[in-house]
Amino acid sequence: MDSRIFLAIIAVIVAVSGIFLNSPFLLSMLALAALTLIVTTGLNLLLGFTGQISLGHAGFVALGAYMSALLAIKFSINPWLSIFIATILSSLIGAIIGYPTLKLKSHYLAMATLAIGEVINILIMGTVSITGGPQGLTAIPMLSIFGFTFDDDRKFYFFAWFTALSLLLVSINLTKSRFGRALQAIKSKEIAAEAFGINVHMYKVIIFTLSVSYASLAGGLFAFYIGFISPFSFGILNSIEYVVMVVIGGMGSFFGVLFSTIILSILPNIFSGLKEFWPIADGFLLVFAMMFLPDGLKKLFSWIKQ
Amino acid sequence: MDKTVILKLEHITKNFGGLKAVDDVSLEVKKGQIQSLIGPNGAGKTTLFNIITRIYSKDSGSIHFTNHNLDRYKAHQLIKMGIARTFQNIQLFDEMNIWENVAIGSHIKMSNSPLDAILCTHNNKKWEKQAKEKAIDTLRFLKIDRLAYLYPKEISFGNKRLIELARALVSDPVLLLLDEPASGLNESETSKLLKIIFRIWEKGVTILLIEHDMNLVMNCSHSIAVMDGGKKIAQGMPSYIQNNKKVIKAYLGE
Amino acid sequence: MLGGMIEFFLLQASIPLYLSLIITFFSVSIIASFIYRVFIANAKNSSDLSLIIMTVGIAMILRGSVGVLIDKNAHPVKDFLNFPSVSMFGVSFASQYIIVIAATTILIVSLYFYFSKTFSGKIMQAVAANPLAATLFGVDTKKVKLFSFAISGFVGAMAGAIIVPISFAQYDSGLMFGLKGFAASVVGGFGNNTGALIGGLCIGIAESLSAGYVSSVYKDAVAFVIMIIILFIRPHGIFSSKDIERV
Repeated sequence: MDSRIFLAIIAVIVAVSGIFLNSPFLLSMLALAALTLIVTTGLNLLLGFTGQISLGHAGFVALGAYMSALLAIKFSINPWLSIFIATILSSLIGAIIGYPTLKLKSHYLAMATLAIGEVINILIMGTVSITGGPQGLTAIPMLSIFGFTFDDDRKFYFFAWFTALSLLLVSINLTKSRFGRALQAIKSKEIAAEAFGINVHMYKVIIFTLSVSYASLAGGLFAFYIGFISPFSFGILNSIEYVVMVVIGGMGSFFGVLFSTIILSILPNIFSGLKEFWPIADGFLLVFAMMFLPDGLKKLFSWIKQ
Repeated sequence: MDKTVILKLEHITKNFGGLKAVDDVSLEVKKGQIQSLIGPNGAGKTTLFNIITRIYSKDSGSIHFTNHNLDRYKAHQLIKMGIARTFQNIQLFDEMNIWENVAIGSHIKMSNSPLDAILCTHNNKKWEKQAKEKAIDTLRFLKIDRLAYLYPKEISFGNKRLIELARALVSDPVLLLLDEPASGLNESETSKLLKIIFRIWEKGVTILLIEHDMNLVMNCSHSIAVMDGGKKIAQGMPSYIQNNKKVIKAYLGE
Repeated sequence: MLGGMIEFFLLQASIPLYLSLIITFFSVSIIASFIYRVFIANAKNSSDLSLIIMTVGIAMILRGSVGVLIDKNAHPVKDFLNFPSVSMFGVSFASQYIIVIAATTILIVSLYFYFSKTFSGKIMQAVAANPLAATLFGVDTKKVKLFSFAISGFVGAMAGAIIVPISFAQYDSGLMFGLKGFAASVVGGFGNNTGALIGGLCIGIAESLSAGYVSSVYKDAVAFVIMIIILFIRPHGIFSSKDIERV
């Protein structure tokens, strides 16, 4: 089955559930899952297709969230415009950071991105006068367009899922072309890819930047939806959580990651009493996947498709 | 520069730590010929290949391809100039099927932009269709188009060698560098390969061939260069090489 | 982190200092070997990427378990020496620093000796450089890797145990140390012990300067900013030569 048909089916399911679900708790949880899906789709391009790990993506989500919120609060810029500007700025920062770090081999890259995520968090914690530090940032305005305000969970649910699925479509189309082949070539044999005309380093930087822009956009939307952000939503554990979602979903499988993202973002909310154990569960999921299920849910999906 | 010379190496030297892997090697490859490079293991043949394809930097010497100084180009720019290669230890992309592997060879010849891809434009469809057709045509040329939808791990070793070759061919190379294409092949596969090399040559492709199989080399080369211990010790027609004392010594020992 | 926490508990149980240190080092080194045997050696696909993902997972399990089973508080640990501070050349500093410097020196000298003078050290380097070739020469790479995990556990525990009197023992304290060590090795150049040492010194000095002149809030970010700048100017570190990947 063509992935685009599959995507259409999912869009229909999402729309129908949006109409019939009545619990604001459920709707808001699913809306947040959609925002997370934006991040994991971007990370999947980087980790799943290109084989480059990032353990600092929550830092880029934070960058997007804080920059767009601050632009809107301190400079009274229109929220949409501030999300746009913040995404462009974070992508720029991503490119500047990615350029030197993506020359590193995989295990060094893991450490470097982990460090970058930490630096962003430290800076946010530290600049109390601007970001509010550990207290967080409040009074972020609502998103609205042509007098239509995204003020309830259902409205935002539709908007978040529309954005997430559109970006999913963009990613699917991109990877179904020569660019997707180039990325997978880089993932499996860098030197051969280079010999066949693929500028490996440039591609890595571009995909890293693209995944940073996804993360940043999700961060911006998150800030305006929740109306409050604090550095604790964007720590290392969150970065690793994104990696867990991509790994469990199956690196390089957009639909596998779609499902793992929904499941793994809902479960902690349902079992909120077990919050302490969640990082351990994440750890076990990673180890388990690498020992027994290196393709994650991917296998399951190629089986369903057939 | 002599117009019949397509690739000219002058005094190439490469050290790995204290080891002189390539020592003052000069070599000319003439247009439309099959030039072979032979020598015992560790003679520096593959290192020389990796220097030509800019995977290794060289310590000294110069490389010219037609009238371009290759120092000014990066590894990923060579294929655009018409230099394609295969690898001794097979370097197929495991997560793509065979036609997609082969289509990598035409990556740089395609001009659909990322935006075309995202928006599924007509231009994108045209180029993608063309790339797939060309990959399958090339597989057909090698008589293995039935493998197009399989994955590298599902095909035999001999066929993997042919896929390597197909991936290089699909880029329409002017100069094809083959790094031990017959290693690991059985006798019938090797004789099939010989025929294929001739068919490629008939299309006007210049070939630089590293090979261990003497039979293959003697049967297909216009000229043979012999390396030993990083140095080039002889060059000439197959009949000359066969009777050269230095070569016999390098291969058989004293 | 494990080193620090175990050391804390042993001292808590009023086990004498030297004995507690030995127990700490060896127990962590046994845990590390166990991790290798049970998890790493059984990875379905031994690509760099999957091993990284796996080690991240293991780190999460360890730190999560300590956080849940014990607690998340920072535990102070007594100085190893009887006197809290020393003064030298008119500067006064905590006595534990002497222990840290002495232990680091011993460690560097013994690692240097191990890798350059002993047969087993050379084999370990050979396995790192080219595992396939080492296997062909009859080296049991699994055993070597197991041993290297044990050593790294030992060294990690040592670092953790001797730093806790300065920094407290806490379930998530390992990360920052690990990252800074990494930054130091980037600045100095990979696979180069002297470089890493000098890189570590540079970063330490820069951190203290920034804490003094700018603000101590950003102290922890300094190391990584320096690292990124170095990566920009000299991607292979200050003291390193380019390494080559063989095809």
